[in-house]
Amino acid sequence: MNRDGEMTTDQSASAAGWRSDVEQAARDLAAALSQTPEAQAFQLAYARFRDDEAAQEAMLAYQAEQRALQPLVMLGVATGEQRTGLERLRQAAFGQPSTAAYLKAQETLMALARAVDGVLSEKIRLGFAASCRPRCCG
Amino acid sequence: MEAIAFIPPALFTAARSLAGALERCEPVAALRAAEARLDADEHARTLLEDLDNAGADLRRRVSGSGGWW
Repeated sequence: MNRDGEMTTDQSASAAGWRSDVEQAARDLAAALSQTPEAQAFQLAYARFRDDEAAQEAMLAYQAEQRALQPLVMLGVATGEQRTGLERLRQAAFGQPSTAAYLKAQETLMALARAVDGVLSEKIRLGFAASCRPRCCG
Repeated sequence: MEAIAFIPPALFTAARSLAGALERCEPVAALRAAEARLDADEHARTLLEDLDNAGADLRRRVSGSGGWW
């Protein structure tokens, strides 16, 4: 830095160098991840879920009811009938074969991503995924 | 939660490569230097330990009294 707190030309070049290395390595990792059977199965399962009208309708119906009842549930004033109705909609939504397959594929892909995070975190001695989350107040 | 026992070699290599790039980058180097300075600063470490103990003591008192009020 110079006296005004600005980067010198050398520092700018150095920062550009490591940024470019990290960005390229991150792109390579994303490409390798996207080629895994887990990622490809997830893409396929997502496309099936997205194109399944019955599954979409069931999910939208559950989410709409969940939103409508959320304030009542939080206040503890939702009736048993309302809770039962919501649970019925939840089971209908998550019981759709394409929805269940999508969620299973997502969980499998997330497990792989966590394993990759473990490799990264161990090597750099820093929780990689945890460090990527926004934080405040220490 | 499903455990993944096997990371495909190409993915493993890419992860190690990203880790290497991160290890060489300035923010991580600055973090390591700051960690080393903190480790070497006994006064700062004692203050942090005192703060930690005070926080734990406060949490014990609050939970023992059933809350703030």
